[in-house]
Amino acid sequence: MSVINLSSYKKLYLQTAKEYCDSLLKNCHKILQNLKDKDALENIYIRAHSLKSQSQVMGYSKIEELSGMIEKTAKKFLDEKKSVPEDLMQAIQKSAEEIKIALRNIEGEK
Amino acid sequence: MKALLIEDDRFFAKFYSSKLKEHNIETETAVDGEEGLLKMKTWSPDIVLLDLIMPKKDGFFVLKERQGNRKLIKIPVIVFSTLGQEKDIETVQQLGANDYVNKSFFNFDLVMAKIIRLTNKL
Repeated sequence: MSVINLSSYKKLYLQTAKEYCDSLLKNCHKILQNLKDKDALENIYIRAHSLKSQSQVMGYSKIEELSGMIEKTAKKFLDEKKSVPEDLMQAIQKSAEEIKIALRNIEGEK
Repeated sequence: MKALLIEDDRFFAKFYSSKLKEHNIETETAVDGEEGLLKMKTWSPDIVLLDLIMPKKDGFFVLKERQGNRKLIKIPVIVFSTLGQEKDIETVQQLGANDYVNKSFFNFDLVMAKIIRLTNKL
């Protein structure tokens, strides 16, 4: 099997992961303003899925785990066609903030 | 040999398109299912690598549209899955996907083997 040099993808990972994390936070904010905002929940699902997949490749397990949980929760409520309760939405927002901090730490690594 | 990569994530799109090009495969990318379907119709690729979770129209939609189109059904499709999408794999097989690969493994040799098997080219 070919060996892939993942370090060459770190810059692109950080670029896209930060963009997806910002989108998560923006859409969390939108839902907290209107718990019935289905489009915002759909966006959270798509972006959390992307973040989980690329973090898995890069070996950033904490971000993979947090975004995987967000993805799973968003999918559940989308499938059930229900709004996410406010307290759960706040927990999702908190997880997205944790992801943001984790990304900053990765960026600061030498 | 022409491959169409339908993938919204720039990270994966860059990796897979650069690998395909390294193997002298002419590569086009599409960022969602809507653009992907259009390029399948107009560019006529030999193979499609299809992500599932995308904005606008997702990979499931592309497979459903392909099933009902006599021209598109002839183009082999390899679906990109990730961890936790086991149920989705069953669905895409029912929707006529020719094969699937976990994109997060970054195992391009496996992708190439599947492309060669499905296209009888290279």
